Amino acid sequence: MTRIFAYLAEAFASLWRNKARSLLTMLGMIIGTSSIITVFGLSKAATSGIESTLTSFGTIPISVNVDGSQNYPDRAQFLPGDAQRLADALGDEVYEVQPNWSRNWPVSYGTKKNYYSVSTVGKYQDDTLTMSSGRKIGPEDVDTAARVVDLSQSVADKFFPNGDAVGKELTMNGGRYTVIGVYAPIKSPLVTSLGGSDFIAIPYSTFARTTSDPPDGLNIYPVKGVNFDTIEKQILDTLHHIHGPQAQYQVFDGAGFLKGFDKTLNIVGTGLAAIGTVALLVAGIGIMNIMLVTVTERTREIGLRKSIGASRADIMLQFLMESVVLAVLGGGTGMCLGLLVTIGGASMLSKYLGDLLIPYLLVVTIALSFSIAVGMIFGLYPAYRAATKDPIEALRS
Amino acid sequence: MNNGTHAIQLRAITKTYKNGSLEVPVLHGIDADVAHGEYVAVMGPSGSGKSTLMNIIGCLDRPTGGNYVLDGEDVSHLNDNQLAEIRLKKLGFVFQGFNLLARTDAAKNVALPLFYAGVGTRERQRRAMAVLEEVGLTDRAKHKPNELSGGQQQRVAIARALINDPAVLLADEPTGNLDTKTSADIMELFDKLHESGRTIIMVTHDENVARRARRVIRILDGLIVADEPASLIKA
Repeated sequence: MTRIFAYLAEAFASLWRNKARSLLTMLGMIIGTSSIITVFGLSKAATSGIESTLTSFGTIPISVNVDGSQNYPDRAQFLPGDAQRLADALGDEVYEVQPNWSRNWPVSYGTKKNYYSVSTVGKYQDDTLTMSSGRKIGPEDVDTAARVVDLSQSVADKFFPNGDAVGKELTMNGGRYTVIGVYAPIKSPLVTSLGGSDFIAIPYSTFARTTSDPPDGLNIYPVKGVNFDTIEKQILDTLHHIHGPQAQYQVFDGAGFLKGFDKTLNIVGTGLAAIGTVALLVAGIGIMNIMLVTVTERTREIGLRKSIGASRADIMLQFLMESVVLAVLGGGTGMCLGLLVTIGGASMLSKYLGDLLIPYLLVVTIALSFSIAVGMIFGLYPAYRAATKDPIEALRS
Repeated sequence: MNNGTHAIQLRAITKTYKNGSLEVPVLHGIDADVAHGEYVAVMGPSGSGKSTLMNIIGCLDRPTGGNYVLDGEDVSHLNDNQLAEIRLKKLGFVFQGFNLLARTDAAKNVALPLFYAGVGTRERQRRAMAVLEEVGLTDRAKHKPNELSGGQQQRVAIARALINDPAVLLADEPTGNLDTKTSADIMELFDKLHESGRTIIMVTHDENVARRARRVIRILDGLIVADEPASLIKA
């Protein structure tokens, strides 16, 4: 062990002697490692941000919509009892089948009036959205078709700037509804830019009483472990049974979409990491090159060391240690740079994606193991050359 | 150190270099014994094979034929790593060009063989100081080679050769890079080492240097042509 430390000290001293050369050689490692760390850290962080945002809205249901491109879409239109019939047909495989609507309704309180998007919610809710005041719409509200609504923070602020929305009555599309809660603002601007930050939630049963329109679609929450293909067939069979075999529907697997999204991010990350690996390869070749120069320059020293009794392994270890130190110094610097860029990038991205998790431990492990591997692999040949030098020839040089 | 056998026994040593299909014989059959405590000069013109012989004696090279017993151990057919271990334990080298590590102080240069022998740091330091004292350089222990004169550098090199208490001290033109005055100092040191019982084999061109030895072996065309007490050399 003390020998390893002695070789380490020797390696540092020898690299210090050729500062400019060592630094230039390290540059390859610095660039390679920092780019790998940046790409890897950022893509992991972005994935975590997007996933946590999406999961904060709970399970993405299977959504069933009428295919608008068919010849007679009206015949396929959902009927009021479809949700219940589907729920009966699917039985234990689903938590709930929710009909859903979304409409722009005029909303007023006192003299204030505006149009807002009103969307339905059902009994099954596993989102992690928090309320800034009041409570979420619950199963009993759905069962009794209670005339209650939840507001997003921005809607609540428009009508009730003093923050006393809960308990007030809003007039919406001619009916009166009691505000029972206000959603805390959603951190993720990505989501609000997609869905808008202004919305009002209402139980679907309450909404159904105000309209004769068929539902826009059906949201089905399957029990965990239910295979999508199986349940899709059951859904279509049931709907065809009601509407006839010509009716066409689009069944969309929300959870599967999330998985696909994940996969895409992974592919992008892998591609970029491959480019970084090429950079590391080039860096490694640079290290090998400079180590060969070093070995040639120090031939006489190698000859001396061998003549006084250093074994091949001794010489090998000495030079291998030098290339590993070179690679790890470069890799370590690159890692720090990469982490800085990742942290900076993540803080910028978090404006769009919400809170991001940077996988520090993984990053450090990857950077160090890659550096050590590069130093070992590319230092091996020069070290072997040094170790197998003939001491007589070497001393003569 | 003296275990009753000879320090060196060479029997019918031959050496042939292969250069492609061309075979170049360098040593044609060397027989020589060196007793423990002897001080031998090896002389011969360049191309005579004396360097090859020294390489073989120094376990840097293997003989093509014959037997070489060093300090009771047959070393004729050892592999590279075994030879390295023999060099580490039984031999000390002094070179014409000193061959010190440039950025390393005298004490650490001297202790280098002990590093490879796996001796701990403190013990290395202690023994380095002891041999530096033997060559009269205690006060230069922390100096780097470029802060030392040629003579002092050679003393450091001699100390390094002595630190493993070798069976044989091999010196290859140890005064070749030194002026006359410094050469005399170094030769005096060798005399002192001889008197303290060291076995010394020295390659030299210089008759004056050779005369300081007790025995002179002359080599010509790969054969020993003379093996005589140094006192027979004409002044």
